[in-house]
Amino acid sequence: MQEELYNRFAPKMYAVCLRYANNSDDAQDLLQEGFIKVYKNIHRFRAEGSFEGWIRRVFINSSIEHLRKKSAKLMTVREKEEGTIEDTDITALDTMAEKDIIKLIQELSPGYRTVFNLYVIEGFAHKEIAEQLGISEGTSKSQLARAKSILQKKVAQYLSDTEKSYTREKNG
Amino acid sequence: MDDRIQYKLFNLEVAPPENAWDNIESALNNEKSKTLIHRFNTYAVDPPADVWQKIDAELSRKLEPTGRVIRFSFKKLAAAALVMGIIGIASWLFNRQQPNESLSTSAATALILPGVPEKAKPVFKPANPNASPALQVDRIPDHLPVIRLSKPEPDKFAETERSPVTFSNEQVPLTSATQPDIYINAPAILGKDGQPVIDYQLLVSQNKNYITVTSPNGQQTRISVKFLPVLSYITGHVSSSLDSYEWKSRIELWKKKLLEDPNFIPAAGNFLDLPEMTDVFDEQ
Repeated sequence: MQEELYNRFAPKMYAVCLRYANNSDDAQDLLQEGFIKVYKNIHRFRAEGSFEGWIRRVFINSSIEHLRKKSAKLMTVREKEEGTIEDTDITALDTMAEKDIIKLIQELSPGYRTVFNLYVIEGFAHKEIAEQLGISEGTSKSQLARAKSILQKKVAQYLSDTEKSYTREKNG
Repeated sequence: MDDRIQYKLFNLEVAPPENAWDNIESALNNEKSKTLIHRFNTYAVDPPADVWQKIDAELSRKLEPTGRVIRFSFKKLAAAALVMGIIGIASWLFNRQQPNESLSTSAATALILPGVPEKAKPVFKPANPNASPALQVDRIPDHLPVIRLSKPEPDKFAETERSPVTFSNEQVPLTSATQPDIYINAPAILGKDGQPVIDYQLLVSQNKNYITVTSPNGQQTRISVKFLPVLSYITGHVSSSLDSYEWKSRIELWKKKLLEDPNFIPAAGNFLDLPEMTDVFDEQ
């Protein structure tokens, strides 16, 4: 039964882990920790929502806990910087493949990466993120803005590299 | 343009093609599917093959009992039981044979040992109303086996020598109304001054706090060891440690007063039969 559960949900949960981890090795650790937590706490599932949603929540919490242990200070942005950060449009991500987006997300620092994942991908509000991470809402917002700004540059670089590569292939 | 035509064109309604809504819905879904949330909610990556093996191994390790299982072999259990049995029997025999109290108290100890039927124990009725309250204890029957040092009698003493009596709890019979008193005819051991030498170790119990005194009528009672010098002085022991002249004169005064009192009845309970007896001896 455990193996069936693993086979059913492991690919999706591995994708979640890849987003929260630095690299695939860390993602495998998160996957392992997450499934063990699922098996140990499966009796707590109340069938009030979807089972997949519950498992995903377990993995997200497990990933946050793992990152907390690993990085003593998850948040790096100072409060005074919050007002100076402008919101950035990252619609360019829509044109990229998931695999490539994950690579770029992994390049972010743990704090930025976590807030970005929680807000943009999971759809949490800043208030919820602040409660989960033990930070202020303002910090969550500024972390997200910085993450987006960094990602925008990385996406631009990625698109530029892709275009150059495509042109070389076309000419060559 | 005519106002009527403008009105007509403004309010013109034309039924759309049948598949128009489907196209719009599909287009909306496509737009929605492009959002990151939806894309990553459905995104899946196959994990490496060995992850499940690691999880399985971890789960198996967690399910194992953490406590150390101690298995006893039958031989070890049997040996332990045998040792315990030997220790138990040895301690029982040791306690049974060890004289834990002085000779003078051994008889009294035997009296209160369990095992004697209640019916065999006679009800104590003090013969003398002036008897000590200590003698009102009903566990001390009025017919005790008495171990008493008597004055030397040549013929009985010779008999004692032929069949010496040893003292131990085993040989002191339990109290019974039918059992005779135990008389040990031993000669009094006299000192250089001609007075009997009292072996205090025979009188003082092991805890050194009490002594058991047997009065001439066989009644026994425990008194504090502090009274030993007084008692030995009363019984005429010269080498008594009662060195205080004040105490000696007091005792002599009390003795004289009591003996001269017509209402005085010497009794074993008040120990005043002893001074009377010594006086009688002195007179004789």
